[in-house]
Amino acid sequence: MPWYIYYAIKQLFPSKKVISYFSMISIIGVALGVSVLIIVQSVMNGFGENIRKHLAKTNGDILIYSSDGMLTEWGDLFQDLTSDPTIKTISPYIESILMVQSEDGTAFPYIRGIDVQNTEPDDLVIPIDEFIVAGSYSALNDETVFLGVPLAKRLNVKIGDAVALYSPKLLEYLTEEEWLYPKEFKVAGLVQSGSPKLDENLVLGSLGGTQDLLEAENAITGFVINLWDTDESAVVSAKALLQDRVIDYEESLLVNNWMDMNADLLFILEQEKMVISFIIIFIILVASFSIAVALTLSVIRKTREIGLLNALGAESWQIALCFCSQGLFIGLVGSILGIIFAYLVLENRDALFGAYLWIMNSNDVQFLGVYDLYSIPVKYLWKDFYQVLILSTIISFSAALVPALKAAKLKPSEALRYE
Amino acid sequence: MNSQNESLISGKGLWKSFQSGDDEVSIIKGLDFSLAQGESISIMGDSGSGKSTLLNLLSGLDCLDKGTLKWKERSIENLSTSTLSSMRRSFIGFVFQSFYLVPDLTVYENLYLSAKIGYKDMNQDEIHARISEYLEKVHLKDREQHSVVTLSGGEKQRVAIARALINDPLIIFADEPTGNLDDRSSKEILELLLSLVEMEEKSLVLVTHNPNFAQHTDKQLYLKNGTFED
Repeated sequence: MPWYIYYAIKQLFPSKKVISYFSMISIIGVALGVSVLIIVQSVMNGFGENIRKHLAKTNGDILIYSSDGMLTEWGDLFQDLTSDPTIKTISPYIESILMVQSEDGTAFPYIRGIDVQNTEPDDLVIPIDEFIVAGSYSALNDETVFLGVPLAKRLNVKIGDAVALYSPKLLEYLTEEEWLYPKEFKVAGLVQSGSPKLDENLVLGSLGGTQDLLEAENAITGFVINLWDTDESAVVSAKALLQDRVIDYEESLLVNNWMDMNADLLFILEQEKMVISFIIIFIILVASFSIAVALTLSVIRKTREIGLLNALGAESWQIALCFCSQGLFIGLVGSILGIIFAYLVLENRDALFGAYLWIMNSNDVQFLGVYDLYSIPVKYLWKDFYQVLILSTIISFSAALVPALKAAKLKPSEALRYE
Repeated sequence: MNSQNESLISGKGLWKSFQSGDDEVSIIKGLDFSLAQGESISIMGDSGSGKSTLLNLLSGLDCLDKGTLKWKERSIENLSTSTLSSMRRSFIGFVFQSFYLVPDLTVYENLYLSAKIGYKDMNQDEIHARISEYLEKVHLKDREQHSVVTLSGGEKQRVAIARALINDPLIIFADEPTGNLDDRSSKEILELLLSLVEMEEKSLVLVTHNPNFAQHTDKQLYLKNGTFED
């Protein structure tokens, strides 16, 4: 081992001591900065992934729909897509805005008609049976609807109550002063998907019942598709392939994947993660500043020793390397300890969060249940870990450079005279 | 001590000034100096007469303003700091008045650090053997694992002497080595230093206030107003 590494180690871990005070403070500073960075990134990843999974679940992987509104000749395309080996499930749907009236209120949600007659619950593109909080999937037929829980609350209806549905065409007739009765449906179930915006505006009906309500005959809005390979890159490439295929059937057909449909939300999530990471880098910089301060103080404290090393024949670059290696060591050990600490915090997040709520005397956790969030989500990405490790080590090493160069530049005669 | 003919250090017209406010104060004014192989020289003088400055110039720790200085016939004024450091490793050992031991290290580790700087190619066993040998010579073998901060002044200076000799230099520069010690310790340290220097056939430049100590060297020089006085 070269003398400058030996001396650096002895500076960090003096004989008869576990660790020097200055080293300990610097290592703790880096470790705290790194742990905050890892914790925030992992939680942000967790939130992001949770929301992405949820969006894919409630939207299906791919949506094919007509830009003209309704698709009347869809049988051949449906048959063609059904035989596609990359497609796991495909389901026609019809969707429209409408007016819902109960005895206590009126709302303007969307109705989505799904093919319940030909689809077993396990084969549903969107797992509606998972979202049912009251009633059962088998109760959905041409005479019944399911309502989103917040919508049912707003209309003050429960299972078994009747609601009047007004299609856009019916509303048009009403403005022309023709009197037509709305169609009455029985509420057979309540659903909660976890997306507040969706649940507040969701009426779920059978395909036939909704087509009848909308006077659409056999027309549909489009198809919801789930793929066997749900990896995001696979979904993107499948979208491109389907786009080329469906154009042969109908020029007005559009293909979107769940990422296109939620591009705004996903963009905000990405931006939020980037901005938070950027802000937290300043915490690492503060920690690095503590290294620079500790090493600068060390250089001042050890001015005579540096003069002595010079007198003994040490070269300037060796003295610089000695102090730089201390910064490198502090950065590396601090980062590793920070990562370990972050991992322990994240693995015990529920207990820690529970303790936090207890201390704050609060049981009102607003986010629970929303977007399938029932605890603080976490996703570990190796990329985050090694990027943080490399970044913080480089910053720590750089923080040590200034005092190291200062030490290297000291004139031995002046250093030995230093009081 | 036996003086040899080969000159280890030869300086001519050595000159050194320092800036004090707007004034330039000359500390060393055109000195000539020569040290032969195996020779011992003591430099005396009042406080502030420039003894330590001269020692720094001769050892290459400080640079000259004017004059020429040669180590073994090689001029050192224009050498790079790196070459100078490298030459100093095998050429000079220092003993300072304030010991300048590394307080975070033990006795053994202080010697080990010096040996590691001096001997790049020596293996651990050889270094260990050399440290043990010098700890025996300065009578500190039983304290090798003690922290240097727990030692007395005399013991610290013995460690410093061992450190100065461990890299087998040709010259020992001792800058008032007894300045911080009581009379008894001073005498012991000086006897130890002189005996080791003689035994190992080193040259010695001793800066001291004490004329009695100076008597033990081959040549005595008195520094006054930046020049040697007869």
